[in-house]
Amino acid sequence: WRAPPGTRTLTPRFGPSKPMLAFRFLRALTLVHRTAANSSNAARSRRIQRAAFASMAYSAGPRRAWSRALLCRLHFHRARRRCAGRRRAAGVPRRPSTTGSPADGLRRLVPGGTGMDYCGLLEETADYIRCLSEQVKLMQSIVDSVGPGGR
Amino acid sequence: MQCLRAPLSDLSALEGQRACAEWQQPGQEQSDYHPYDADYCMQSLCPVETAFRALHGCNGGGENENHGNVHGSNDCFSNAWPDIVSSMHCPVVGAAASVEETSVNASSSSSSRKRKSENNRRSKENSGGSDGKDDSNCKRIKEETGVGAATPEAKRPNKRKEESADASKENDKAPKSDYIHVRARRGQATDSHSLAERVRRERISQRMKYLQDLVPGCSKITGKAGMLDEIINYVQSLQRQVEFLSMKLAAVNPMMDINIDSLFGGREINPTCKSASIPMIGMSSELLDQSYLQFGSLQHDMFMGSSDLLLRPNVNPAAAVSDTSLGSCLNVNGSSVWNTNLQNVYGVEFQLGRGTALPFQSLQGNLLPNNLKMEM
Repeated sequence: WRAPPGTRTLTPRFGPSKPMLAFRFLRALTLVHRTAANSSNAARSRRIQRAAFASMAYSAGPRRAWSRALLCRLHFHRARRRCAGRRRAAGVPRRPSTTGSPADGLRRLVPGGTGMDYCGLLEETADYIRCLSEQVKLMQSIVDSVGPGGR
Repeated sequence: MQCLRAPLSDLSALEGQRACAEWQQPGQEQSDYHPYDADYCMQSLCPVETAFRALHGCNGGGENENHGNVHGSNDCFSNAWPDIVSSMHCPVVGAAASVEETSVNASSSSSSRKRKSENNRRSKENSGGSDGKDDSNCKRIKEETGVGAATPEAKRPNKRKEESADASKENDKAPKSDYIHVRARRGQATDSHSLAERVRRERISQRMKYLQDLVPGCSKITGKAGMLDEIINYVQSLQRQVEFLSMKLAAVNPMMDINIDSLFGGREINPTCKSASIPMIGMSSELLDQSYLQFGSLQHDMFMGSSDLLLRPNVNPAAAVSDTSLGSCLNVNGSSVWNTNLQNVYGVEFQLGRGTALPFQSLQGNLLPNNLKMEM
């Protein structure tokens, strides 16, 4: 038995790049506001949410499985939306997993988690949590900086 | 030769088998025994065989986990016969697998542990090939006694201090390989599956610890299942926060839009903007990372139309636009509470021209970096 030669160590990887994250997200945000100024708040917020995830995934880089999976999902949904009109993807009802490993819930949450072994899933989760918290901090700071009386 | 007998009674199976194998076929290895007279070989043939049988007898009696006993003998064995052992192993290396095969097949009462150690030695010697280091080989092989592992390299039971010291020396001397060195602990099973399991468990526990530090409030919970639930809750709460904040941003942001237009009007005219924006982008060293260059090229194709600007390595961060000019730009709504890092980044964004597309909206197949496999 031997472990694969290129086994990764657990040193935290390169970590989310905050300037890049801010840059991408703000750019996306301004674009959303410019192009969708007339649509409803809900539609805009969906677009902003997608923009948040996209900028997160881009900042994380292609080395992470979750960022690749997230971008794939976004592109796929975008393509489907463009081709098939506004059609909502039916949400799969969540069943509590009585059988199966306890990590199933985590696999559903973390993008790209279904095709991974437990060890890799934990590492991806850690990176995903880091990037998510950075994104949340960024968005919170934007909301705070715009001021209490925004509109 | 009395000193030979006492340690021989506790002779490890490995040594016994090997000694048996060699001395059974003296024709092959006779040439290597030049420093030692043939008398030694003949004299010690009988004691070795008796010791071998004795060892088989007592090894069959469940001595599998009691490695300390074996190693105690190995110590005096090594101390008594350093060069003899080394010479014993010299021919073994050249002796090829056939010798070991016969010895393994011949010893009917050999336990699985011994067989695996034979495999271990054989594969190790075939792949390691460091016969020049006789002493290190001897000590390594002695330490591998009782370790049934198919791993070619360095699975040593960490039983005694001097052996661990030797092992640490061997780690430096041993040829570097691609394998992961696993150390079996005292009193634990040492077959390959359990060792692999142990390594996997250690990695998982490492990652769980790291996650525990990340997730706030997780340090109180110790169980694996509880930790997983906490992590799931935390990820869900983060995702909900993103959704909530995006709703807020959708509501509060039109103001920024207007100011950006005015900024563009002021900045576009300035021809130095373009060159100034490049050093801005290069400010953080991370941007020069290869993966980012690939992503950065995406922006390029969208904004600049030329893909060589960002890829220039000689970006001079010091040539960035001064903060004061940025500060005037960034007084959006009079709120200049953004820190300088964000300010500079915002400056980049504002200067990079209009018609900026959302990253995920304007992607086309040819813009995607190669290692980001998308299915559109």
